[in-house]
Amino acid sequence: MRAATYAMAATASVALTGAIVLIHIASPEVKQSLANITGHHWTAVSAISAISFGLMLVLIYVLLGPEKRNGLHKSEDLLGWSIALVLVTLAMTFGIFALYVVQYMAA
Amino acid sequence: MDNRYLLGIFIPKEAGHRLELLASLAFFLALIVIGLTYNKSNAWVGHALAGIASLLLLIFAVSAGAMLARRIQLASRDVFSMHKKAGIYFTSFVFGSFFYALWVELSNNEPIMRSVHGRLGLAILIASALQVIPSLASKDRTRLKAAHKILGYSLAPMIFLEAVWGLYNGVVGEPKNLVLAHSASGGFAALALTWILVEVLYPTKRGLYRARIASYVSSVLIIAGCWIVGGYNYLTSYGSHVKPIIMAGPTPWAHEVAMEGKEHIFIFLPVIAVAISLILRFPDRDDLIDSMSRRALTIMTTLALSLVLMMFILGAIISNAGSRGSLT
Repeated sequence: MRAATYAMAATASVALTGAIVLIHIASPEVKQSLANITGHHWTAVSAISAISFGLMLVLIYVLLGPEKRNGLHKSEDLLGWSIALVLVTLAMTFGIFALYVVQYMAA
Repeated sequence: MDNRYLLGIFIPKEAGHRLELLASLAFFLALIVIGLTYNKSNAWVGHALAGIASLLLLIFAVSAGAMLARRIQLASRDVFSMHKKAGIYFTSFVFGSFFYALWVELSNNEPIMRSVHGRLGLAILIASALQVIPSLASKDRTRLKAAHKILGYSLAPMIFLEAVWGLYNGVVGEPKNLVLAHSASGGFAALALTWILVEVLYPTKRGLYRARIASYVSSVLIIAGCWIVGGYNYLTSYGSHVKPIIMAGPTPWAHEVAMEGKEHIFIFLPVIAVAISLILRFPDRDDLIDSMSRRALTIMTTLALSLVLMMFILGAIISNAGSRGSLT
């Protein structure tokens, strides 16, 4: 596997986990569904984060192969994927805080 | 323009100019915050700020020391001067932070040197004085080299532990030991991430090997200490003991926004830490020469370190809200 694969999988995992967190903050039904899986919504989101990272690694490996190169998957893209990881993490972080602030102000 | 001025202070454009800038900014910021918070319930913020500044200055001093010993790549010809200045500034901030806290405790008629935080602070004060004074006084420093190196490297975990214990002092509810393990893991993970940054920024032949070890340490601490221990405490104790106190206190937003944000944003951190470990374990090249890879690792490690520091700040807000809530 090329080094960029790990940054790519981390970006996808953060995006997926962040999206689930944002949805469950906005929707009590989704939060309850997550709580029904493991007993607590936080444990479910934690499990999703860990599993999605592993799955993304496998998926990227299967789809792109160990050495295969294309526009998305080159060793040189490690820098690009690390920047993508920062942008996705920042967007999710601001989004989560923004939703909690809005909910607090509205309560 | 060869030289710069900041608030009327001469900042030479040499190796140490960033250091002068950091020390001057931290000094003025600490003065302003102390002035704003003195004799108030949040007087600890000035002490914490001086502590953070001393931590950053220590990182400068230790990095410059490692450069002098050729453990990491030399950043400039004037590293010795940078090492000396960073050491002096660091010791000054440690003295300032310690005596300010002592002054606040005495003026509030609080018992002094009762907590581990206070005693560890005194140990750091003595250790930092022992680092600087003999080195400045002695002409032949070769005799001091081994002791100076051991004490210098020991100061880094001591300072991180001191910050953790400061946070721990504000924790309410039980079991406090779990919170201590949780925040100590975060503190040492931050130290390991800083170590990766230093190795990646100043690469040597053995740098990749050491950065790899630091990344394993940070991943284990973040997963075991922060995620599992912190998660267990959150699920079993926080909701039943601490949350009701915060919600009934003067700052319910500390739970509604800070804690809720912290518990969910944290989940990104283990994935990022493991990705850094995997990149260092299976790099495209067996060294850190490739500047693109180094830049990518710098970006990712800075992201992870920023998240850890954000967790610390949020943790401090939550602990403080718990303490204030328990007083009402």
